[in-house]
Amino acid sequence: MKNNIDYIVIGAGASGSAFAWKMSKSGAKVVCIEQGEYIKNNQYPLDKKDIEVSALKDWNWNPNVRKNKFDYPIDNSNSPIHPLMYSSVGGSTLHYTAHTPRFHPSDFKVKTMDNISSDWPISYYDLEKFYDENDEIMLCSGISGDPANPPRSKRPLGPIPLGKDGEIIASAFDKLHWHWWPSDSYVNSDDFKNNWKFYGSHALMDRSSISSTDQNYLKQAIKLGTKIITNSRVNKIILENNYKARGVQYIKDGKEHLIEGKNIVLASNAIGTPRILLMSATKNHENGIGNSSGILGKNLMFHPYSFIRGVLPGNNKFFYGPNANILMSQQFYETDQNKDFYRGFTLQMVRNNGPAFTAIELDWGDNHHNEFKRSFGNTVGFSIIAEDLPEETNFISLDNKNLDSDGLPGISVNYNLSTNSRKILDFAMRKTREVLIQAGAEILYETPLMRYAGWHLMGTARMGNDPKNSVTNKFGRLHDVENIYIVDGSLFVTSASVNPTPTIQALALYVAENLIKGEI
Amino acid sequence: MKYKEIFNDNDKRIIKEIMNIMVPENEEIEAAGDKGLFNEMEKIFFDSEVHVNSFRRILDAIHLNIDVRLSGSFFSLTKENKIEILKNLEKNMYDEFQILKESIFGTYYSDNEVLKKIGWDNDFINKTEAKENVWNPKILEKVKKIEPFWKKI
Repeated sequence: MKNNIDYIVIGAGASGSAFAWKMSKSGAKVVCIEQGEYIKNNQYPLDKKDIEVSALKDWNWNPNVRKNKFDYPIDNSNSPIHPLMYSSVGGSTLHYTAHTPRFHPSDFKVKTMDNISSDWPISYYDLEKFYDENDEIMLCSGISGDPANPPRSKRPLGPIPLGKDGEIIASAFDKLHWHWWPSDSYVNSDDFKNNWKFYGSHALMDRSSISSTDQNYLKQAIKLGTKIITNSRVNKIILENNYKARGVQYIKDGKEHLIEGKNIVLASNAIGTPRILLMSATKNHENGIGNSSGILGKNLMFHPYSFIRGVLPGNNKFFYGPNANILMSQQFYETDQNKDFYRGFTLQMVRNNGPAFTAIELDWGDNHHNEFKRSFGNTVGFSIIAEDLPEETNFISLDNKNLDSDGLPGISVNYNLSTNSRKILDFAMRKTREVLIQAGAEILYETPLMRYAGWHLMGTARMGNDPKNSVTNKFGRLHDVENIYIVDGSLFVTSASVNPTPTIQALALYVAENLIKGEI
Repeated sequence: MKYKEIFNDNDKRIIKEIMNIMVPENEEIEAAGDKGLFNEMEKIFFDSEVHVNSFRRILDAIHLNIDVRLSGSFFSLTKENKIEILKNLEKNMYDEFQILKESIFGTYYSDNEVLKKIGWDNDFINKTEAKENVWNPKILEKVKKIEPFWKKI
């Protein structure tokens, strides 16, 4: 296909949608290639009794369980944490809790502050206005004034009520004199009173009240001229010469197609993006395009999670409201020289699940019904989200034994939890128990490391100023090829200890704006 | 892949027994296997290759278990022995066991009689709780007194 496309964007998820919108708004001609399909509102399992069953099966976070034809296989046998994602127009924003905190300024400068890892080549302040822009478009609910974070613009929507359980936990933090703050969230608080429905499974609760990029970015982008090609899997970037790309090759309905464009933009998450670059190896880029440093696919970061749930006395019905975006504490977010680990963690309050998900977390057997009766509707939990520092020994590689539905290689994940991460989690679990006990809860169970918790994929094509130890420059452009850009979580140099979606989207908008300005 | 090609009658009996052990009777409600929920589970989960394969691997591990082989069958074991085997499988075949557990509980807690027993009513929650939940600005009074402590760099 010969044409005058300015940007071929690979992936229509959190980052690709934001990039496509901003570029289309500037007048650029954008085509977005997405391996998945459009998901219509009526395809969600709403108003059905079996919503929890859907979340366990066809809407499972884990692509290895879900096995849609758009998913690719991931060999997790060498990783204690399993990557989770969703492939469709809207990507994982169709399937996320929409908890949307920002990175702190310190997260971009850990080398300067703590002499560990590397600094980002950009700062919080380079991204700040893009965080704001993204919050406006994604309709962030929340409230300004958080003492743990820099002042930020007025949130587009007011905060979501904490609920009785949230207020109990907030009071517990107050008694401990610890920080807490209502979560920023891409959940529409205006819908709360009359329209919002809750079905006991947060990933799939009322989608019309949760922002996703297919609605909040792509609808507008399409009006501005963005074209979306769905059900199409990119298998190779085609180079014109060693330093310039000509287009991409993709597979649709079993046939290969070629599309040419002036620039290629990878937005396929920190596993999908290096996968495409590795699959695109040529004679002169034998280890994959953009891999002259040898670190493409390396420095994979997850957020290691621990989880603790406590049970409050009484016969409560603490069900209503978001499951995981209620409030958070960043009391222990920054490095403390008196502790034996670097960086820190965020505590994220988690509400009760529906019946099946409640049961799955409990013991089976003779005591099951008693435990269920005691805990159902009465629990308060905490996800402990630790900062994961980059390590070259944590990496993804192509798996030529397990192929996707188009015969392309799957992915093998090689990841070990670092000593630093383990120390953070151990300390965090002790502190979390204090909060729950202060709240009057009894500890119900503890999960020192969550296995199915690789929601946050980061770091496999890091940005940097030195081509010897980074894949892109500070504008997301590959060091090795002049017209290939990355705009997703692959760019992350460090991981912070918060959900990454707003930072991923702010990065995509930042790269786009600098392209528009001709800064790159 | 159809489960009928994978699970013979003996396999089905073992699965029902596992269901009974994992979700025993609850007052007037029978245990999950005795309640006939295997058939529901079949409808819900066994069109999935991942689910069928996970059950298959669990069953194979049970058939290969030394205690099962010495006693002749899973059913010859005491309940305590059966629980011990299942606990070991949960430790050693974590992913497969998780799928089994999710399938059993997902089926059990989709059953109308069970949902009635536990008082789960989405509509009630949506109609009543929504009215009671309002944003309480006073809740921030104490935390607002904390001096900003983020690090500017």
